[in-house]
Amino acid sequence: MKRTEADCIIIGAGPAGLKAGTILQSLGYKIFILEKEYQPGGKLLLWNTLFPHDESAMEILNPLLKDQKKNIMTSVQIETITKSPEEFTVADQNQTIYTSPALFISTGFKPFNAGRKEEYGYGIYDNVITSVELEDKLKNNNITMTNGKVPGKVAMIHCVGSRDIKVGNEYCSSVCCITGIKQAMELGKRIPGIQVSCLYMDLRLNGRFYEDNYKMAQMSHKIQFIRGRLSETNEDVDGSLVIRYEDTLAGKPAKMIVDMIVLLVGMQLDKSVSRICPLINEQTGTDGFFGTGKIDFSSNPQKDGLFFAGACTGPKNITESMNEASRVAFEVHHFLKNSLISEIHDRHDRFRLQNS
Amino acid sequence: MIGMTDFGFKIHKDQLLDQDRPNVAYKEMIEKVPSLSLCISCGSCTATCNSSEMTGMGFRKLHLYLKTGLYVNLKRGLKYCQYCGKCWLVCPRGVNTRKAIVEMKRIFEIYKT
Repeated sequence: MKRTEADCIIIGAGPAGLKAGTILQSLGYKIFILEKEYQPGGKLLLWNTLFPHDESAMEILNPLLKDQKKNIMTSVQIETITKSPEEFTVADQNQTIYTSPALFISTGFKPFNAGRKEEYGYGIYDNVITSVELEDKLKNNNITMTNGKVPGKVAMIHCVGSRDIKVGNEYCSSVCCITGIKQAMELGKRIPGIQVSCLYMDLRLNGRFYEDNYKMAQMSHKIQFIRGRLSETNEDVDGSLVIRYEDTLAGKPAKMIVDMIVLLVGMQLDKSVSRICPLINEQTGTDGFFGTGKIDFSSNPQKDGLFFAGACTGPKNITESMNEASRVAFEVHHFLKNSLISEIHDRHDRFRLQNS
Repeated sequence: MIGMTDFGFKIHKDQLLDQDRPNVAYKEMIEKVPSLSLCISCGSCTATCNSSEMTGMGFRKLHLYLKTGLYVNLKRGLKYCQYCGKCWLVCPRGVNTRKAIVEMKRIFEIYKT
């Protein structure tokens, strides 16, 4: 059994965990970043380019990984997390034990399982794919259908697994709208003459420069935006897909024949950590993400040493995730400093008591 | 007195929706079916509706007609419903559409109970 001590254990080596790790390390703390996958990067690894500036995901990941390599433990399956008054104890599948006074949870999200929206045809028809799979195709520069042909007409379906009471996710996943627009433009750039239609309920482009992307999609790439939610997908004899929706602005039910459907899947909390630790599970909000989402005005917000940041506290883009991680990293710093001060005071008191 | 209509002109009613007029039916409906106020007009109900393809009608429109006080259109639309309940199955906001249609029919005395 191996036992290692640190000042802070970070669970999840995604953008949030890595950012917090970089900051805490620069402040002189000893940290460990535990990652369940075989390589660090989290969901950033699934993405090719990022909105709104079309930056390469790897260019964002590499500086985050710099100077962090020795702190990251990959392929770690956490089995137990326990808390004593002083510290957290995390044990993994190899019985390696990590202890630290602060625990930083940045376990992120997992994409919505599109198969649960059976009527959309994911897992039933070949050319119904998710945004994650399209990103993989873009990464490999191989945007083809199962018959090897290049699609001529694509429908992007917004809000799959978001804002839907029937699948239990009533929140907005916030980044799928802009992801859809980014991917639609990407398709337009790679395949000349492709027709892309976006079927939306509401377009929520609430970030900086997102509106520019929207305009660019309309102007330069002639992406069609249709206000209507997909009702069902059917396959035609030739393998093309027939979709039904209502064009709510025209006020008429409508159908469209497309070659490929891209489902813009929403975010869900990755429950792998909350499942094994009741203490963490307690912190789940009504929407299924961690924390309360409120501004904390107390001077010492996390007395118990448990911190959350990144997409596990609600759907976020990479910038927001890293910003939150930086803020929470300083809360960790504050917490560790305070506990150090109180420890020194305790020792001082004990020393005086012994000598009096 | 001679008016323009005597020379063959017609006076049209304006096309404005008068939102100052009290919408009694909508108020009553919201009380009876509170989930109705959750509608975001996504159109899932119409797209899945059995009779929308031939009639162009759907729950989204019925709700819109009720909300805007277009009761004549609403009455015309209400009779197409076959109570299959597919609109209720697909609604992402959980609006109790079938109950809403029953209540609307009661209010507009399409059938009495």
